[in-house]
Parts: sequence; structure tokens; C-alpha cells
Amino acid sequence: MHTAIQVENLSRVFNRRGTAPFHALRGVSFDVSYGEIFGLLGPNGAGKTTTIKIMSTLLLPTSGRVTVAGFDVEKDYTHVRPLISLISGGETSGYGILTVEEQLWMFSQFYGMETHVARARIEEYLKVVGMWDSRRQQMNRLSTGMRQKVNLVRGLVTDPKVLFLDEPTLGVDVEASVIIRNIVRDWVREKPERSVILTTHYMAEADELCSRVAIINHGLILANAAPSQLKQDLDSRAHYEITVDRLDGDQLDHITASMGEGNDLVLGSDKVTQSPMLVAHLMHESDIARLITALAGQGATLEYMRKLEPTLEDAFLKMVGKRFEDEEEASPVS
Amino acid sequence: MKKKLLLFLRTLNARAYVRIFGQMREATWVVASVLGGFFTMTTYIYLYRTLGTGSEFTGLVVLGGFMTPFFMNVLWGVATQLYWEKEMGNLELMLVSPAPLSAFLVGLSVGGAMHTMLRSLAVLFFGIAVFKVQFTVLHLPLALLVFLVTLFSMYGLGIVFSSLFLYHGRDAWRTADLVMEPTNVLSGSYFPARFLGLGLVGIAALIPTTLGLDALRQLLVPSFTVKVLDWRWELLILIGLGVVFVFIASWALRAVEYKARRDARLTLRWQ
Amino acid sequence: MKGFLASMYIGLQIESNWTKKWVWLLYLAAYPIGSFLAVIILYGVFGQKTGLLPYALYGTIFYYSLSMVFFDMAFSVHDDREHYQTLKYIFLSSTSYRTYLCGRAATRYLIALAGIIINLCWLIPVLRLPFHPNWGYLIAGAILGYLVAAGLGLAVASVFLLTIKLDVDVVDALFGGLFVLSGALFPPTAFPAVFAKIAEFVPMSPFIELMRRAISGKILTSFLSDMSTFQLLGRVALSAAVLFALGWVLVFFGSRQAQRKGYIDVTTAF
Ligand SMILES: Nc1ncnc2c1ncn2[C@@H]1O[C@H](COP(=O)(O)OP(=O)(O)OP(=O)(O)O)[C@@H](O)[C@H]1O
Ligand SMILES: [Mg+2]
Repeated sequence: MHTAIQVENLSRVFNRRGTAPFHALRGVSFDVSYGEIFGLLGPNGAGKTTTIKIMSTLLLPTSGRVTVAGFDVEKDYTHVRPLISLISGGETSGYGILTVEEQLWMFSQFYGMETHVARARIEEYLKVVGMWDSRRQQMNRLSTGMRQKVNLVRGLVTDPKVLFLDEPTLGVDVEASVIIRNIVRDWVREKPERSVILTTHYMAEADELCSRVAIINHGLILANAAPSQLKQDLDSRAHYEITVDRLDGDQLDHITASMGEGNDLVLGSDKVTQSPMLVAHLMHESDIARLITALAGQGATLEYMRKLEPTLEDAFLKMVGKRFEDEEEASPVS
Repeated sequence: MKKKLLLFLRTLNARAYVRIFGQMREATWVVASVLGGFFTMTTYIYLYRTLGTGSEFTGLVVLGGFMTPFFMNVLWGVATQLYWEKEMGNLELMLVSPAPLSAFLVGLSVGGAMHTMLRSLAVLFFGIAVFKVQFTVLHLPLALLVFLVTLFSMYGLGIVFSSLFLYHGRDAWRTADLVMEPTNVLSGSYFPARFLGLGLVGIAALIPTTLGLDALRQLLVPSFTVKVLDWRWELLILIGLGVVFVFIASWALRAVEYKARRDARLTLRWQ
Repeated sequence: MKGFLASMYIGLQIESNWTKKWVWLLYLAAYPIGSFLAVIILYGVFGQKTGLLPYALYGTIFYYSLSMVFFDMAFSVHDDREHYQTLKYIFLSSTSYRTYLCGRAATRYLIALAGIIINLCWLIPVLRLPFHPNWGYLIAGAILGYLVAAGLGLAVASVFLLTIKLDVDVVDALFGGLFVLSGALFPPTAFPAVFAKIAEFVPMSPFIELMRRAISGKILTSFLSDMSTFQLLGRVALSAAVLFALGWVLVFFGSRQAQRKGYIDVTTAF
């Protein structure tokens, strides 16, 4: 079975009147398998939407090759289109005077669906997103979140193999975002030949949904891995925050010495209780037992302890930040 | 093949539905169409009375008043539509879908023509019922055929223009606005086109309403003699024009789509 | 006043920024032709005997100066709201919507007048139209014309503020009716007596007749001929005042109502 999407060395140049050609993508490669939710993360202007537009046949690549479900998006775009759906956040597409139901029916017709099949699916998905009661409402009377749910239904009704979601929860409240995320996750699991490409600025969303994410900046992919992997790569050590009733500098030195090379301990104080607070960066997670024993040996009583988990946001910021620094270093001084 | 045809028809149907029922939702539309028809008719009748052109002439111009709304609909309802769809952000979704652009436009045309029919029929109705304009019904079926062929050809031209409008945006829009009324005059809405001299008629004949109107006048007003060509020839030419427009349109739409994808310009809004 | 001038400027930008300046000037000159081309052919060829060409030509041209304004104002509501989606910001700004509309109307009116003047420069000699201008009446008429047009425009705009979907057919029908009755195209004396009487009270009729007389120096037909030009001017002033006041009040209520109904930023698309 072929992969859902293959992107090979993709680049895209925009010619803007009066300015130098702009390289929005500069050799991007990645694959997406069926069953996957693949995330594209990156700051504004990184090239996410451009990539999505190329994958969804709206834009031609300047060079490189993209296939969707085995079809080349440049040459075989007519084969690609029946298999995909595109949903963008903040889009106000469609016709405001139509009702929710009519609008969805209309789009289903653009995919050649039989009306009764379409109606059944529209009902099913409208119920799933909790919009069935609003089916007779006109589109221009809907709130952003409601409209986005309708857009999601529009994308799902045609039973695509690949779903492109460009910031699908933009401007949508927490509850509706949760609904949208749950639906997307369930939808991918429902059939084996389905996959989702998602761009988002909410790291938690990507972390929660995506089996893999690519971090993209200035048209280059900086990393491409599972979110857990990215977080781990950020720093492989285990981090703990421990508050004790008392601990001074000498005692800390003692403990540090006993813990051995590679384990760092930093002493501070809790912002609220003013108790001494230790931040420990340990080579191995199991070293925490030794640390607690050592603390007890110094007569310190544990008040509170928690493990610090790196977030995807940390990984993202580090990577995108690092990239900025690299470029500044690399750019010649004029 | 069958699947493609079905897709085309379903898209056409859906787009026509939106055009027809979307607008019908506003009751003002009916009132406006009927009143508009009435005012057009009144203007025509009294204008030609003032001009002293005689009653057969009035019959000729009533037909002009009958065709003009279609001319307007082609220009403002079909030719400009892709541009509007782009501005609304729908063009992207239309392109992403497997349906061809032509299916949308044919759907729009069918919907638009049906929508415009009320206004045009109102003109005819007031002409016949209130102002007692007389037509010969002897060739009514033929007249209907000519009318339908004219519509086919007209809307074909509209679809050709739609790609032009999309690509040139506001410039094309302004140009259309500029030439609309003069073109309408030249195509014989207000008087038989033959009066313009054959040279101008030759140019005006590129707009299908010119010959369409001339043929309709021959078929429905027997006393009409200042014809351009025999209606049989005109019918043939109209069919020919229609076919040519359809070819140009399908080529132009493909070109537009390719350009849209290559230059990333045609899906940009507010340009 | 500042808001008014700013609105005029914005209007000018919207009208002209789509092309190069010289193309725009050509456009401005060529645009009115559509409005009177049919009149020249109809009266010049078919109705030569009537001798009404000057009446109808001057009539349509001056009707055009008004119609450009109120058409534009009707559509600008729709355009600002749906297309550019700026209506809400205009409402938020310190310039009142009325001022904004009046500013845009002024620009449109000046543009229309410029187009008319350019065309009259060749129409008068080529068609040998009667030309004995009374500049005083012409200028006074032109100024009052703005008030007539803007007043009507404001009234129409306020209606459109309150209709969600702009129906071109409605605009068309409305102005189609006003056009016939205004006597621009033919003397309303052709109508049955009742309608001829109504035509005298259509707000545009006295303005158009005033301008005809002011430019041709003659009374061209029996329509409104029982009034002296000075009386006509009075009638125009009166209808300008009434219309403008009406438009002013209507827009006030229209905007309030639109805000209440949430129609300021509604989009529909069709
Ligand atoms: N049609 C276009 N013409 C010219 N430049 C463009 C065009 N489309 C995008 N760009 C440029 O390409 C770059 C990438 O844009 P893109 O929309 O892909 O960013 P993005 O990653 O989606 O950003 P965001 O998070 O803000 O949505 C931007 O600098 C943008 O200005
Ligand atoms: Mg984007």
C-alpha cells in the first residue's frame, strides 16, 4: 500500500511585482502514512499554508514532487481532487443566504454525491458536531465556532481519504475545539485509508492529535518526528522540582558531590512559601531515589515534588529560536 | 465517463438551485421583476409614441425589452461571477472539488436564465395585455427555438467573459460597465439593428442578442422587413457562435485554472 | 467637514485607483456615452421630425448626473459591507456615516459633471444643440442637483442598510420608474393626464428641466412650461431641501435600526 502523501524536495517561489522573487518553500520533504495525523508547525509565514495549497492542488510547485494517494498533484490533479477535502480556519466560504443544510448539500453535489447518501451523511455529522438543531439556520447567522463546525462537516461529508486542516480551530472556543479535535481523531481511526494533515499554532493541539509533526520555518523543515520524540530530543535528562523545609548551600554541595557527574542541582526558593526549592536535572530517571535519600541524609524533609515535563512548545521554541540564531550567524556582515 | 457526466449534472443542478431559490427567498425579487418589467414597457411605449414610429415598431422594441434582461444577466450574473466567487473565498473550494469550473458556470447560467425569465415575461405581459402590442403566433415554436439558441449562445459568451473577468479583475469589470450600454444599443434593443448599417451590425453580431432579436422579430412581427439576414441564416450563425463560444470557454477556463495554480494570483482576494 | 473631505478623497481613490490616471480620465469621458447613445440614434434617426433631440439629450445627460450618484450610493452600502467589509469601521470612526455617504456622493457627482462637460463640448457643436447658457442658473442648478442626488442617495442607502441581500432588480425597478416619470427621455405630456401631473412632482423633473433651460436658453416643450425659470429654480430648491432632509433623517434611523438588527457587518453572498 502506498503512503497517503509523499513530498519530495518541494520548493515554491512567488514572484511579487516590484520585489525580488520570494522563496516560500526551499526543499521540503516528508511522507504521511495512512492512519496518521501529521502536523505542520511553524511561525507565521513559515510556509505551512503554501505547502497545504500545493498538496491540495491549488498551487503548483516550482520544483519537487508531491503525490497524494499515489497521484501526482501536478499532473493527475483530477484524480487527487475527489480524494481530498480542505478546511481552513477563519474561512467564510459558501453562500450566506443558504441554510446550513443547503450549503452542505450543495458542496456534496460538487463531489457528485447522490443526494440521499449526502443527506444521510450530513445528518450523521451534523449530529456528531452538535449542529443538527441549527440545520435550518442561514449561514450568515452563525458564530465563528458554529461556522467552523459546519466547515468540518463539509469536509467530512464527501468521505475523503486525505483531510487538509489549515488552522481548523482558529477563533474557536475551548469546548468547540475539543469537539473538533475529537471528531478528527475518531474520523482517522474509523477507516484504515484515512489521514489528516494539520497546521496549527496551538502546540497542545498538535501534541494531542498528531502522531508526527514537522517543524517548518522559512520554508525549511527543521525537525520531523513524533511529538514525544521531539520533546525528548530537547533534553534527554529527567527534570524534577523539589521543595524541602530547609537546605543550605553547604548541604547542597554535599549532595551534588554525592550524585556524581552530569547531574545538576540548582537551589532557589518557592515563590509562595519561600521554602528552599531544588530543581534537579538528572541523567537517569532512577537517580531520583538516590537524591531523595541524600536529602534525607542532610535532614531535609520533603514538602512537595513534581516531575517537569518538557512541552512541545519548548521544543518548538528551541528549534525555531535556534534557527533564527543560525541564520544571524550565517548571514554575512555587510 | 458516466461518473463525470453525473458529477457535471449534479454540480450544475446544485449551483442553479442556489441561484434560483437563494434569490427567491426574498419576496422583493418578484415585485421588483414585475415592476421593473412594467416600467421598461411603459418607457418603451411612450418613448416610441413620442417618436411617432408607429405601432409595428413598438412590437419590435418590446422584443428588445424582452431580451435586454438576459443580456444584463449574462454580464452581471455570469461573467462577473467567478470574480465574485474569488472575492468571497469560494473559488478555492470550487477548484479543490472534483467538479469542473464549467459545471458551476453552466449551473449559474441555467439558474440565472430562469431567474431572469420572470422579468422578461413581465415585459411581454405588460406589452401584450396593457399596451395591446400584437404578435403573430404562427411561428411560435420556431421563435422559441431561436430564443433558446440565442440564450445558449449568449450564456456561452458570458462564460467566456467570466474567465476574462477573473483574470483581469477590476479592469475588466470597469470595461464591461463602460461598454455594456453602447453594446446593448448596437445589438438592437431599441431599434432594428439593420439601421446601423451592415458594417456595425457585423461587429454587433458577435453579441448573440443582435441576430437573435432580428430573427425573433422576423418570426413574430410579419411586417418587419428591415432584417439583417433571413432568420434561417441567423439561426445557423447563432448555433455556430454558440459552439465557438463553448470551445473558447472550455479552453479559457482550463487556462484560467492553470494560471490560478501557477501564479497563485487568482485565489488572492481584494486585488 | 474634515470627515466630509476625507470621504470625498476615499471616494476618489475607490473610483480611480484601479488604473493609470490617463486611462481613468478617458474612462471618465467615455462613460456617459452609454447613457445618451440610444437617445441620439432614436431622436436623430427615427424621431427627427419631432425636433425633440435637444430636449431628450439634455434631459438624459442631466438625469445621468443624478443617477450616477444615487446608484453609487445604493451600491456603496453593499460594497462596503460585503465586499470590502469596511462598513463596520466607518461606523466606528468619528465621521458619521451620513457624512461619509455625502462625501462619496460629492465625489461621484463631480466626476459625473466632469464627464458631462467633456461630452457636451463635442455634442453641442456636432449635433447643433441650442446653447445659450445662463451661467447663474446653471451653477445654482448644479449645486442644488447635488442636494437632490445626495438626498435620494441617502434615502436609498438607508433602505439598503436594512436589506440584507442587495437586489439589483430592486434598484433597477425603482430607478426605472423614476426615470420614466422624470421626463428625461420624453416629455411626460405623452402620458395620460394623471401621470403627466405626477411627473411634475417627481423630484428630478424640475431639476432636469431647469438645467435644460439654463443651458439651451429656451423652453423646449410644454412640460412645466407654465413655470418661469425662476419659479423652477424655486421648485428645485424646495425639492432639494425636502429630499436632503428626508435622506438625512432616513439614514439616521436606518443606521440605528441596522445597528439594532446587527446588519452592519452582515455578509450574504449569493
Ligand atoms: N500568493 C502569494 N504571493 C506572494 N507571496 C506569498 C503568496 N502566498 C504566500 N506568500 C508568502 O509566502 C510565505 C509563506 O506563506 P504561508 O501562507 O505559507 O505561511 P503560513 O506558514 O501559512 O503562515 P501563517 O501561520 O501566518 O498562516 C509568506 O511570507 C507569504 O507572504
Ligand atoms: Mg497559514
